[in-house]
Order: sequence, then structure tokens, then C-alpha cells
Amino acid sequence: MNARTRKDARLKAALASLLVLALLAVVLQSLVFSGASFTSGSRNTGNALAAGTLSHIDSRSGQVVLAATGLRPGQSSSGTLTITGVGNLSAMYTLSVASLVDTPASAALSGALQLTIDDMTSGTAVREWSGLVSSLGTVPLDTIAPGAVRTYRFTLSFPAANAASGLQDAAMTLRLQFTGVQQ
Amino acid sequence: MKRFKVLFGQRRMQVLLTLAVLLLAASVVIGSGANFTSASANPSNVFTAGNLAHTNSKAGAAILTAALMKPGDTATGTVTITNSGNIAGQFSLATSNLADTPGANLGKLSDVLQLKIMDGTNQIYSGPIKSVGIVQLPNTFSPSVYSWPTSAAHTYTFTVTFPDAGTPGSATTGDNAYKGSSMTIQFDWTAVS
Repeated sequence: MNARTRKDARLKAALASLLVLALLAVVLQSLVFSGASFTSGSRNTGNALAAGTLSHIDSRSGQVVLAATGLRPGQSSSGTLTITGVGNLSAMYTLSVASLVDTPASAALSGALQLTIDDMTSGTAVREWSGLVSSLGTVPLDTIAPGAVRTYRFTLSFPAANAASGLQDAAMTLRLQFTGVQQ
Repeated sequence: MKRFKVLFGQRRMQVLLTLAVLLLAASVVIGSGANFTSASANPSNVFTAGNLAHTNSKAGAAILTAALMKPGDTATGTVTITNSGNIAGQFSLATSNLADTPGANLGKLSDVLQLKIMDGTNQIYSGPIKSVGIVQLPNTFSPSVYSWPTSAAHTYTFTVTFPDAGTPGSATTGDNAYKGSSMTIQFDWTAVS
């Protein structure tokens, strides 16, 4: 047997050994990691979860509801808007003051002007709130269902009893905000 | 002679194995010298494979569904799993095929919904619905034994909650991000013997 033949024989033996080891490894792996012989499975499909949508349409969104210039004691001004429920959830709406600016700050015109908010949806005024503009905070209004429309009237009056010479040429801007929270 | 050596070298192992087998056979022949014998048999040794199976009271159907969810809402459903086979098994629950359909504000509902799974008064899982992973289901609690014998049955209550995170900071953030969003998820039950 020459050297090449012996080398080939050793190579064959090595390959055979590797093959045997590989087979042993596979067998051992199957023995060690063989899980259960039997399994059983089932599934529950179609578990669907969906959030609702809630929004509203303000007929005067971003616009002036009422404006009064040259208002004198004893006069009033009014404006209306509608709130329409949009989406698929009912919501409880509130009205709040987003900003109030008096010019001058003192004497403040908001301390003299009277604001009245009525729900006019039914055609008959239903009082929601009334008081001095300066005391307006957050006013709970109504629950509005999807598609429902409510009409609100805002009346600003300058009671003669609140007249003061310091209020001449005074101005006030009031920004209102409607907020709906799902029910 | 040289040829024999080569042959012997190549088939050394085979030859040795053959010799070993011959020696073994010879020992059997030589050693089998008894005159008396005694024999017995145990026939009819029957081996039957067990059957691992389970029933799902809502197999192929939903455990719970909820539409028009809003922050603070919960949805509940129950399912009963029964080991209907004739061998014990270990049961587990996993989820799959979770799919989100974000609403206009792009919030994924699976990011916010919480799932609680109860086995009677024992809590199996509580956490985000998207993070259930694989839950091993005990047959008994305190101590926990995970092997369910035949006919063992457990009713699980699934409760999904949409947490109320308070008034959103804007029309598209906070809870408002999830307006109109929806998701689906599949619950997979597996028994292993």
C-alpha cells in the first residue's frame, strides 16, 4: 500500500466516522428533544374589537357667533349656532371659555355684560346658563347623539344697572369652545 | 499477498465484525447444551395509543367582539376548554393573526387595549392584548399543576379594556388617536401530551 492509498483509506475512514457521528447526533437529538407524541389544537378566530368615532359639526366653527359694536346700556345682541353630532358615539357636550380679553382690563366690560345661553332646538328657549360674561366657566349642555342637531342662542346684553362711565369705549372678545365627551 | 493486505486493510472492520458475529454464533451453538427446557408465554399484550383531544366551546368562532368602544369601555367573553381525549395533556394559549386597522388619527388599537384572562378567580394573563405570547394553563392552582387529566374542563373569561387616558390634548392625540380604529386577533389553544 503506497502513501496515497493509505491517505485515501484514512480519508474514507474519517468520512465514515463523521457520517456515523452525524447519524448519532440526529438520533440523540430526536431522543433528547422529542416533544410529545400527540397534540391537539383549536382556535378562536374573528375576535374583533373596534373603537367608535366621535366628532361634531359646529355651524359657526371658527366664526363669530355674535358681534356688537357701539353697545349701549339697555341694548342686547344675539346669535345662534348649531351643533351636530357626528360619528357613532353619543357625547355629553360642554361649553367653556377658551379665551376672554377685556380692553381695558379694568374696568372690564365682561364684568358688566350679561350672557344668556338658550337651547332653541325645540323652538322654545330652554335656559342653559345666564350670568355675567366674566363668571362664565364651563357650562354642561346636553347629550348629543350621532346625527342629532341642537341649536343654541347666545344673547349678550348690557344691563343699564351695570352702566359705568369707565366702560365707555371698552371692548371685549370672547372665544367659546364646545367639547363633547363620549357617553 | 499484497492484494490480500490491501483488501484486508480496506475491509478490516468488516472482517473483524464478521469474526465477532461468527464467535457469537459459535458460543451460542456450543453453549446450547441443555436437555431440559421450560417455556412460558404472555400472549395478548395489547398496546393502544392514547388519544389527546380537546373541545373548544367556541371553536372557530370569536370569544368576544366589541364595536364602538370608547375609552373606559370593556368587552367580555368566555370560552370553555375540555380535555376530551383519554390521556392527560398540557394546555397552552397563544395569539396569532393580530391585525390593526387604524382610524383617521392613525392610532393602533392593539397599542392601547388591555386583556385580562381569568380561570375562575385565578388570573391567567393581564397585560397588553398584543403581548400575550404563550400562556401555560394550569389545571390546578396553589400548587400549580399543568397536566390536565381526562375530562378536565376550564372556563376562561376574557376581558378587554380600553383604558381612559383622560382628556386628550388635541383632536388627534391621546385617546383621540384611536377613534375609528379596529383590530382583530386569534386565540390558539394547544394541548400536548
